[in-house]
Amino acid sequence: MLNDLLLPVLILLLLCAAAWKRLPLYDLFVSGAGEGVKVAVKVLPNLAGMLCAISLMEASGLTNALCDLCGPVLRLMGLPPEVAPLVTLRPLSGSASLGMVESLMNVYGPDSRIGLIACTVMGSSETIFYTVCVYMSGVKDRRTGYAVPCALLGALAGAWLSSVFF
Amino acid sequence: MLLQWIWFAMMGASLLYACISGKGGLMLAAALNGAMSALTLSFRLCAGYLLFCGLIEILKACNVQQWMSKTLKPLLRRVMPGLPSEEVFEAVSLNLTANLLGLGNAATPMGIEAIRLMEREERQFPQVRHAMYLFLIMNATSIQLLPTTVLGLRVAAGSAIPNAILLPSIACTCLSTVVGLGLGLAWKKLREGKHA
Repeated sequence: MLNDLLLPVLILLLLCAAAWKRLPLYDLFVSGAGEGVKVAVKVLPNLAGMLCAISLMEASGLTNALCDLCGPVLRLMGLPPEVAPLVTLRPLSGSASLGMVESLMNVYGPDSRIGLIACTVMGSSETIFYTVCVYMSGVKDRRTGYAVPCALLGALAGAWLSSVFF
Repeated sequence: MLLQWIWFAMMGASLLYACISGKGGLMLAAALNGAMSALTLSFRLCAGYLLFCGLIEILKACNVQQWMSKTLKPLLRRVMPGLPSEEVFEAVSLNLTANLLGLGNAATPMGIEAIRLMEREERQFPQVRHAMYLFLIMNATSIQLLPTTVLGLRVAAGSAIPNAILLPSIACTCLSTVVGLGLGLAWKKLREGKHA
């Protein structure tokens, strides 16, 4: 119920606020959408690289082997073993994990328990290593101290919580 | 740099595993299928980007972010008491609110700037390093509230309940940030205890 109301209400509020301020609503939307096309074009080569690798992992049976390996730990956390590759890849590569979510939805369906958990994990976490690298790129002293381990454990806690909801 | 080795490991291990288990013949087709699904996936993603980047442009023009940044500051001051100057604080607050609203492209340069400013102040105030780590944790545990990209993919995959992940995602994102920050603060306490 609340889930279904959230987005329409937020967008309605946004549009009303913009109209109230007499902003050129439609022009803004169109120019933003133009930026969106650029983003999509930019991610395509990255997706191709990562999805080739994921496809190879699946076809060779490596994904299954990894699931068997990590399965017991995840099952202990209440997560289905099928999301093991996703949880592992998520902090490393956005394109790879996006591809993982897409293939899990194709196999098990977007509204299955696995599909819902995969989407929640994807939507609630960040490419930890990439983010830290980019943010530290402007400084000389690139020590990150306890930041990465804390963020990884935080992400794991988030993944665990997603299994409680579904 | 790191990505290069991950990719190598994924590709190399798969090819090796396939050769050993006698599935070498499947590899070419699998790789091409992967490239093919990259095409369809980027098409599906593009739909979401078109819609949400359009809406985000309106959001930017409404100055919602500046308003949120002001509201968030008192809370931030309690989490990161180590920040001496107002300038750093401003950059941190702007970056976090941009991330909250999903303005990733706008957030990144502000984040890099915030870290750069913090490093500059570190010479005078060594405790800024700690604030820098906390800031990294907040960004790395994702504080984006609406998972717009995943929503788009769910709709494209034919989900009957695409919105079902909204509130759970927000809860998970909050928990991961709280746990990450809590661990960081606990770590700092532990280290200080040792030195005292």
